[in-house]
Amino acid sequence: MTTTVTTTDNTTFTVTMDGRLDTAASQQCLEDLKTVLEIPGANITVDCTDLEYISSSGLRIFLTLYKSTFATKGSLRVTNLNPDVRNIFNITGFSKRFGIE
Amino acid sequence: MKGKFINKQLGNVSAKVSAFVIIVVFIVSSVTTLIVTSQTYDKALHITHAKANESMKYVAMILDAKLNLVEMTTDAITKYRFDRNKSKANDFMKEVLEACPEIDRVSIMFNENYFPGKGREYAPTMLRSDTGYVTLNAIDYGFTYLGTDASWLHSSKGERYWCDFYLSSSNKTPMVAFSAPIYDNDDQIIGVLVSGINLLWLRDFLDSNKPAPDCRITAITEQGHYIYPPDSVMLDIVKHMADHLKTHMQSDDVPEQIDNMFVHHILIDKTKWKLLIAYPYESVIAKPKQMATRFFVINIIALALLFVLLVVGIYLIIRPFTNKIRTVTERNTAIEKDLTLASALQSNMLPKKVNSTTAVNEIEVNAVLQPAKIVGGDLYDYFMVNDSLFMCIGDVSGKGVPASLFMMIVHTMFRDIAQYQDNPAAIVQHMNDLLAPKNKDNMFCTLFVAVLDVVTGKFRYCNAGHNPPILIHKNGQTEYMEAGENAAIGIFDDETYEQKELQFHTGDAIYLYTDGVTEAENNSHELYGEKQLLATLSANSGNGLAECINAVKNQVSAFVHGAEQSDDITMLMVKYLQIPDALRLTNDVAEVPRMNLWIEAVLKENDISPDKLFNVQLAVEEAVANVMNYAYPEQTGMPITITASQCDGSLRFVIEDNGVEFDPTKQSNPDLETDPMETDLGGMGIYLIKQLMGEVAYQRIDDKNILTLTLKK
Repeated sequence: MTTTVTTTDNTTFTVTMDGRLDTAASQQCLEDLKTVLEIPGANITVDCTDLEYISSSGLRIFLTLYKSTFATKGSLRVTNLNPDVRNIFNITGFSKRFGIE
Repeated sequence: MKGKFINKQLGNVSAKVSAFVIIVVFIVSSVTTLIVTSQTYDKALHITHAKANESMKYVAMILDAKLNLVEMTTDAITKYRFDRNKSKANDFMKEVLEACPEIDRVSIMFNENYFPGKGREYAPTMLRSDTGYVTLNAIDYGFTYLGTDASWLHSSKGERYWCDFYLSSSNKTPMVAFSAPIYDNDDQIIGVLVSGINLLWLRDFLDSNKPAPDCRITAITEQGHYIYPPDSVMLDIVKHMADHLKTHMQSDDVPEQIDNMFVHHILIDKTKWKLLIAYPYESVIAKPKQMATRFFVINIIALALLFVLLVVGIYLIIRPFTNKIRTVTERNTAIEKDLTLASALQSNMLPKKVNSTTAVNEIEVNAVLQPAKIVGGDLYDYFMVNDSLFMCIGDVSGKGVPASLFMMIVHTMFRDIAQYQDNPAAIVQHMNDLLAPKNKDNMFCTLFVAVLDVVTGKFRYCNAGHNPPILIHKNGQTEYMEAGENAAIGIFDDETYEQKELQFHTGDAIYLYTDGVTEAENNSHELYGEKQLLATLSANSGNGLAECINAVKNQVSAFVHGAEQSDDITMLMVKYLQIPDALRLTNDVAEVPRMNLWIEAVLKENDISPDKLFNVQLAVEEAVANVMNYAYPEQTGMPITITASQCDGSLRFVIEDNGVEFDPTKQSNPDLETDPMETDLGGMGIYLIKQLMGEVAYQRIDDKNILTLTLKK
């Protein structure tokens, strides 16, 4: 899978996830997000249009993003989840916490 | 180095040739020598026998002549009548001696009291002496004859008689005498005339007429007296021949052979004497033997010289060719080295193993290429790109180096083009477009290219003039694939290639081959043939591909039965396997994609809706992630086995590991509700599993963690 981070002003970030965020892919994904996580008060939008699959290790990445933005008064939005991934977000209670669109 | 080596080789060759010539000459000359020697022996014997016979006969003749003369003289003189008053004994005797010089002494033994004044016995005797004749009365010297002397006893009764040999009383000379009666005018016998001859000459004569120096000679009288005394060897022979001598009253023409001695035996008729002459076999053959030995030695020396001359001569003759041979040898060595490198290059081009990490062992591939020469014109290849197995097999026209070069081009092209093109017809088309226009030498290659989608079993192929591969179904049934009508590549630059498609089912296999298999020829020019091939493939359909290929290979080699391989033999087999019921992983996150592919295949195999794929993959992945994190926290390379099975209509996955005891079902659910900032999502995995699958059960058996997930219907 690939994780792409784009920004225009260094406070608003768009993270695009593409492919399967499984146990094997999560470590690289976390690595790719390091720059965003280091910026306090970042406003992050995760575009999940092409996110096919997520495992608990992937959820852990979303939790990390959540904790990071919550602690530094930033924001986290998750958009365009496909039904399967959305279902996981629902049954794990992630949906209620994140701004899911 | 090489030059020295060749010189040494040349030396060896000339030595070998020379040795051969010498051995032949030696054998021929030895046989000739043997034959000649044997003939020489025979001849020598023959000559010696003849010579001995001749000299003995000569002696006998001379002796006979002398004795005859004595007889004749004596007879002539005794024709005269003796008148007691007028005749004088001395005149008679003198007449005898004068008439016959052979006679040495003559005596007349008169009847008892014939001359009253001369006593009872009167035997006047006349001897030759240096000055003339000596006359004496033998009686004065102790001689007595009445009733005792054999000559007297025989001749006084009218007989002509040769007496036995005797030694003269005066000087012990060997003598023999002839006696005849003397008559008076009244035809009354008045006495006996005895003419004696000295036999000393006979000894000398025999000695001087010896046919060979080491001859033994003897002369024996009828009574067994020796005129010529024998030596010990001759004495033995005489003893040995005693019976023969007694009974054989004639000369022998052929010599008797007694203990390696040849013995000639001559009879003197008048006196009944026997002359014996003997000589050893050894002395007869001595000369030829010596000659043969000398010849043999000279022969050996000559042959040794000849050998040296031959070695040097041959070496010098073939030496000028050395450079040529050296150049050719070096060139050959270089070519051989190049060919070996080329052969290695070719075999290195062949694929070793399919990268199976993406394929979940769903295919098995095996191949063999057996070139007829050191480099071949056959090729095969296979490799995975994503989920597709690319494969090809081809046969370049012709053989040897040109074919192998063309083959390398074809092979490389296929690899290149297949990197960006997954349509078999397009690959072949592209290859032909590149090859055909520039192909001035009219080389071409029959080629079969196929792409198997390992996930779906879709098999697309394009056959460019190659013999159609054989499809082997799971039940052992075989069929040829539809060949199509495409030309081999490299021939027509305007050829368009079409492709065909098949659906593989699990257990199906394909057998790709080149005609080196079916057209393998034995010494009777019979072909292995397709019928045999199909039967063998069918019989081996239940076995592994390696066994199947080996079976064909062994059968072909048994069929040709040692005949030289005329064409490259290439076989490539691909089997589309059933999804394995169990998947073995190691505790490495990189194994996850392979696991997901397997799960996908398992669901498909079990006719489970693709909608469930996401959930099942996630549940199994969470279980495996737990094992990796908690059962094997430290180690790497540890085994995890996932088994899929149908149970009461439900699909069940059992995940087993040998790690530390870890029961995920005992974990509490993560509390995201109350405190999202504090949770680390521990227990999220098992929570998801429980949510997505129907049942989760944990067991600890034999130091194994066993987690069973059952999918809800």
